[in-house]
Amino acid sequence: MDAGEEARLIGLARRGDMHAFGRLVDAHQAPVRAFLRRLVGNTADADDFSQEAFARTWQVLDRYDGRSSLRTFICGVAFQYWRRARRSGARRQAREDAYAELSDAETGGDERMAQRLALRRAMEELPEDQRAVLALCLGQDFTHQEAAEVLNLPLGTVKSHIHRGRARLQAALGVTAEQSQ
Amino acid sequence: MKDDLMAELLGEAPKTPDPSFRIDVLARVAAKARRRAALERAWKQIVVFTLIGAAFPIGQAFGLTTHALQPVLLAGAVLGFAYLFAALTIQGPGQVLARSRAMLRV
Repeated sequence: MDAGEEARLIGLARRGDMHAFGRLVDAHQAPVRAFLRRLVGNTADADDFSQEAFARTWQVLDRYDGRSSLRTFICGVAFQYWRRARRSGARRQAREDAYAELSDAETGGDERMAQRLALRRAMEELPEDQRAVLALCLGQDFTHQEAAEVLNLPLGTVKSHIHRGRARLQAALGVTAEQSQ
Repeated sequence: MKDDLMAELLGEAPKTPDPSFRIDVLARVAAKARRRAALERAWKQIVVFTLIGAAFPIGQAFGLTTHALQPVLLAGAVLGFAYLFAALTIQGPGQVLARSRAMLRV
């Protein structure tokens, strides 16, 4: 979707046009859902967060000033929502743990699945910001600058989070720095 | 291991836009709007009834007795009934009005 068309749809959505907002959801759902799936580690919960993020975006669309891209704005909303929910959600954490245990039991033996679980565990141990930076930038969905805008962090911090976070994920997979070159 | 592969293992993006996802988002938006409207209605009712309830003690505190206020109260009651009657006539029982209109057309 080109910038002009997006600006037109945003204008319509601000005036209450749900059809226009639906087209914006279609255009941006892939990067937002990918970000949250990597961040949360559970597809169902991630999609739940994504839907809530889009619904909140509808409410605060007037605050979008156009200086960053819309997907950056939506991911920022999603990240704030996830962080708040995570801090207040001991129950959700218990469900995540139960899900992880269930997945472990169901998928023993499969090498790819073992790597996936090792990565997820490593991600869960990372600090929130570092985890979010990796979720945004690993798949090259977002540039470092965009990640800095989403998370409201300095660019240098984003770069150092990527460097350290990547090393920790690779260590969890048993990959050394030389092997990863 | 390459970043792309790690990203894929952590969680993949949906390949095409998912219409059911969009429908779920719009349903949430509509539910939030309904909740907000209901909350606004509830607040308005609370404010109106609080003001009505507070008017009498405030009036009494300023020395206005029920006897002195009688003409004002009567006028208020008449206006209130007139408003209710008008609202019922305009918005009214839809089915009854539709049936009457249909009968008139015949």
